[in-house]
Amino acid sequence: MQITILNGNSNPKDTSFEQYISQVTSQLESDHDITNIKLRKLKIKLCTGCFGCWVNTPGKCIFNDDTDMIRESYMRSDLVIFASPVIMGFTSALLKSAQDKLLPLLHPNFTLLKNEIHHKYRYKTYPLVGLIVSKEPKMQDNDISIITDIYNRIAINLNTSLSFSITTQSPVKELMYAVNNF
Amino acid sequence: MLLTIFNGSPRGKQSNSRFLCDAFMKGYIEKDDGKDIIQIIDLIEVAKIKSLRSIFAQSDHVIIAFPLYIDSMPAQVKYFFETLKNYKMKKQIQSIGFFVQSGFPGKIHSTFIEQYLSNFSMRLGCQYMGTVIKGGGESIKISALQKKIIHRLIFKIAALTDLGRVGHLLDNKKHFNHFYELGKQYKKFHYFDSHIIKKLDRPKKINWFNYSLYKFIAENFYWNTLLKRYNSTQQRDNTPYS
Ligand SMILES: Cc1cc2nc3c(=O)[nH]c(=O)nc-3n(C[C@H](O)[C@H](O)[C@H](O)COP(=O)(O)O)c2cc1C
Repeated sequence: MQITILNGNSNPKDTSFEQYISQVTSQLESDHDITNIKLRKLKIKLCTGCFGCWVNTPGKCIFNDDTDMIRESYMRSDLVIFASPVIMGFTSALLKSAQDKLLPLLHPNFTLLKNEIHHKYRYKTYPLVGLIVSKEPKMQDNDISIITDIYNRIAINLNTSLSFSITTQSPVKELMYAVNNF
Repeated sequence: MLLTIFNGSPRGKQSNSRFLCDAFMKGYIEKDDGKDIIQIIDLIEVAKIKSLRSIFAQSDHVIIAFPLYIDSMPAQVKYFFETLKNYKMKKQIQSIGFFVQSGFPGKIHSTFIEQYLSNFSMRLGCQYMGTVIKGGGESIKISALQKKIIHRLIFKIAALTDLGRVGHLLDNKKHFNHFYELGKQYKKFHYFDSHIIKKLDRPKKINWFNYSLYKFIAENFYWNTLLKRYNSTQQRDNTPYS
């Protein structure tokens, strides 16, 4: 299976997060083809909300930055893992900067899904998505479930489903099980 | 008392969020008693995102407005939130509220981020004033694009009759009026008027009829007009990453 990990950790000094992702990567590598993208090393121009990716250069962002490579890897994958420390109760701004730039993968036209309006899909199939987060100090009890709920919504918009949502406190084994059994 | 509205749209002054903030401000300052100051800060205009923290700290009341981006806040807004890490309230009471507007009609799209925003306010130790949700926000941009008489006519009829209960989404005057009233009420009572919030929360249910109407208008009068403008109609369905 082709797997892309979008690592949204902006702080290289957060070694425990990096170690967890390294462990995940090395264990997955034995059975899968892994692309590990450290977002902090890329040039990401923030989305300007111009919709050029739908009306000017349909399917592509009009700006030339490293997100073309992210979208390419995203669409080549069977599973995309969003990975990020929790900062101020949500996944990182760095990860969000890459997620905003996934808009070109959708189509401007609409579709009706369970009495909700969503965008039509540009591609026939999209990868499944998973979520790994590391907790921050002073989290509220429901923070992780709120993040998971939002990622479930993101998955609907990206025509897929969230196959797992785990924290770095869970043993890597648990993630391996989730990946190998979906 | 200083009320600061942060506009988190990457489109800055030309954004739907900003238009709604402006309408709110107009209502807020309608009866100026000289006691309150209100300012709107566009996040994209602030070169040093870190300086936003001090603007935040100086304000007695804060409203953060943003468009829904992939079911949450635009990256820019999240960067702003991250600068507030370990923020300690200096004032006795500081309140925070939010305007979230989504492209899709229907409140449902923004209810998940609303839960986050409530926790976020608690994390800062601020009094949470609530979140005003407005669906179908991109419709604000549609009317300006209409050149064909027939399109304008359909548009007007839909807006005036509130056809399919999505017609009102095309009536900018009404949206701005709601935000104007919201600003007026906020100044008077210092809360977001629940009746106005309810009015913004329409249509409650999307059914096949209002979906089809919305789809017809938004696709034909908006996306297709823009595609034509860029000469990209033929490329509309491109799949560059297949
Ligand atoms: C990158 C991107 C992601 C978006 N994601 C969503 C979304 O998940 N749900 C939604 O209803 N609208 C979404 N929209 C639409 C915007 O919320 C909508 O166009 C809004 O009115 C823009 O407001 P602004 O002019 O204040 O930026 C998205 C737009 C962009 C550019």
